Amino acid sequence: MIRKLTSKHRSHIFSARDLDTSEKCRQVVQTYYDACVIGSGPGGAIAAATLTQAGLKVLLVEKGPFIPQEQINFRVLDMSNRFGHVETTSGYRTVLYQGSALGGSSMIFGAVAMKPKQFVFDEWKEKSGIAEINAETLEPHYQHIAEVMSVTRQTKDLENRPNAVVREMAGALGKPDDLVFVNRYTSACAGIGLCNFGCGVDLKGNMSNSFLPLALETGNLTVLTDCEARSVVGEDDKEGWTASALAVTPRDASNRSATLIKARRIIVAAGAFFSSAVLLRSPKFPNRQAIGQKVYLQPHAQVFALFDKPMTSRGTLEDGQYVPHNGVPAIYNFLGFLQEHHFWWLASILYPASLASFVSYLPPRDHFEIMRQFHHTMSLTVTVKDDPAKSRIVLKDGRAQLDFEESKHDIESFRRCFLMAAKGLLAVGARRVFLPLLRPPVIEKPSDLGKIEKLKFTYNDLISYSDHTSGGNQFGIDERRGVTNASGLVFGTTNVYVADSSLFPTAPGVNPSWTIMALARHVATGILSRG
Amino acid sequence: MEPLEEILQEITSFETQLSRRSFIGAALLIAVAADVSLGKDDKRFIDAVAATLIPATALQSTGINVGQNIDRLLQSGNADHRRKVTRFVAWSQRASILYGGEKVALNARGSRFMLVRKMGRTLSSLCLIAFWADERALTLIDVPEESA
Repeated sequence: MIRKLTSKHRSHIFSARDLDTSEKCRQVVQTYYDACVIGSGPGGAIAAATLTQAGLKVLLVEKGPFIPQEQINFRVLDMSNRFGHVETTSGYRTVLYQGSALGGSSMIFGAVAMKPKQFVFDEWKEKSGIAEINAETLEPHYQHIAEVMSVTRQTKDLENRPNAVVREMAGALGKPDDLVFVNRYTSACAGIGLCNFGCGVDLKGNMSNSFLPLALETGNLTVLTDCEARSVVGEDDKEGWTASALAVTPRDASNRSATLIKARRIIVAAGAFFSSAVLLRSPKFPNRQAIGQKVYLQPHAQVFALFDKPMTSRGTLEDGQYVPHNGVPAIYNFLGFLQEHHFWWLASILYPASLASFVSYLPPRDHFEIMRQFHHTMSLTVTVKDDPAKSRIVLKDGRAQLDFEESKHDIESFRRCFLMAAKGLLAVGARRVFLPLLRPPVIEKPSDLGKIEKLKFTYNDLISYSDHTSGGNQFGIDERRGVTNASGLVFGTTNVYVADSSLFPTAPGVNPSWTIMALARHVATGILSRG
Repeated sequence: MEPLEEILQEITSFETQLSRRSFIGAALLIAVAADVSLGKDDKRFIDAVAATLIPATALQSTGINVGQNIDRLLQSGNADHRRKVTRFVAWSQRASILYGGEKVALNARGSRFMLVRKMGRTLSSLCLIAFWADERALTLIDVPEESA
């Protein structure tokens, strides 16, 4: 069910840019809160909703702006980049794409709701030493989220041509049973596919039309947007390091002196990249050496294919505006190689600007020819469940940076993924396959597949990105195995919690948002039960 | 991922490598003062580069101005994004002295320097996105005979 942010709700949303000019805004930062939550994405919004519904007074700070639904449309020139924030791994090409607007990454995700496979929960237990966080104990949280966000299993009647290709590929690769229908946070998707523009028809479930209105409805939540959390302020006492306030500045004004917002507890839910950065910036914060270690990218890349048959399934909005696109919404995840080779794929968003960019290496005449045939192209987003050789958040001049080095194993996963995807695409009629490399080989026939076997590349040559970043503040049974305990409480502190993807002990192997929400609710209900 | 994010990824990578590597062109690729939108010279440069990547007939028939569209794309991003893009365009313009002027995007692709190849690709992508993101470009796409 989509819940609108009403004018009453909006009266509790403030911008930190108004701190100097608005008395109301100043009052917001002078209030003492039961909890201050950093980040309004799938982790922070659920934590805030759970706490406010139990009567706690909560301030939620969000680095990005509030973008009202009425300002959202499907025009690439207007919407591209409005909701996101880009970071990259150090010295490498992989971008870390973070949601940066009220609603966090839920504004840019494709609304696919998946639970990790059992082998991932087994990995989590082995790595963390904690048995109590598993598929069964999280199930009530998954269910609650499913009810609020209308999680709906996709069905065959929604299959468009690109999804049919994914299904046919599974058959051609001898793995028809490894195709699973995905769940999505929508019961009435319009099938336009530009989910990462926030959904111009407001049919995609995100935090701004689900948990945030629910939390604001209680009257216990205040939201401060355009607000960058700099550090947690606190000191050691008898029971451990105790936070007393959150230091914040308006976004893009880090030179300005910080404002302190006082709260009884701090809940960090700014995503795997920024959560670690906030904790690392916090003076005298305990157990620093463990924070930000082993971040997983679970990187994606897009494989394109050109077909003789048209691939576009829909292209017209109700108002008559023509928006050509194809490849979405995904109704299938192909998981046939996930457990053994750590990759999977789904049919994904493709629109002219994205195709133009991804094949920009072609000579101009070839490029124009491909663009002319846009309706005959489709895109697979391939994803690798990674295990990097080196991956840790470090601070340089106060700014977070991901010190990263991919593993040979992850490169091999990508190579095998490209090989199987190309093999499958050619088997179901692709005329040409385009791989996401700076200088990709031409793949037009089965005998070309040998070129992929011989490919030598690193992430430097790979056109990849990550919006599934996780880890860095893993839960663990003790300080040697994690940053937080099973309740999300940071070891060595009495009142600092983590409630986002940085808790994951290993990459989740599927779309992470549902599990982020479930874990955040697990953390928040734990806070409530301890009083 | 949205296309502009891809550009920013490349630009950030470009910046990172620029600070770590040295080669003959590096002296020319100096950082310039951050600006929030493209200047007249930058736009002229971008339009000239775009003309090497997109057929003249396509540019004429659609009436699309690539430089203007980049400015419009920048308006939707935050200040950090705008700084990165404007700085990158300024760098590219300086590097173009070594790589064939407005043909820099094409010529840089063949460079033996990874950094220059990336610059070529990024510049190409930036221009091509700004063109194909414009709804007027849709008239250039063949309409499929049959809707799948």
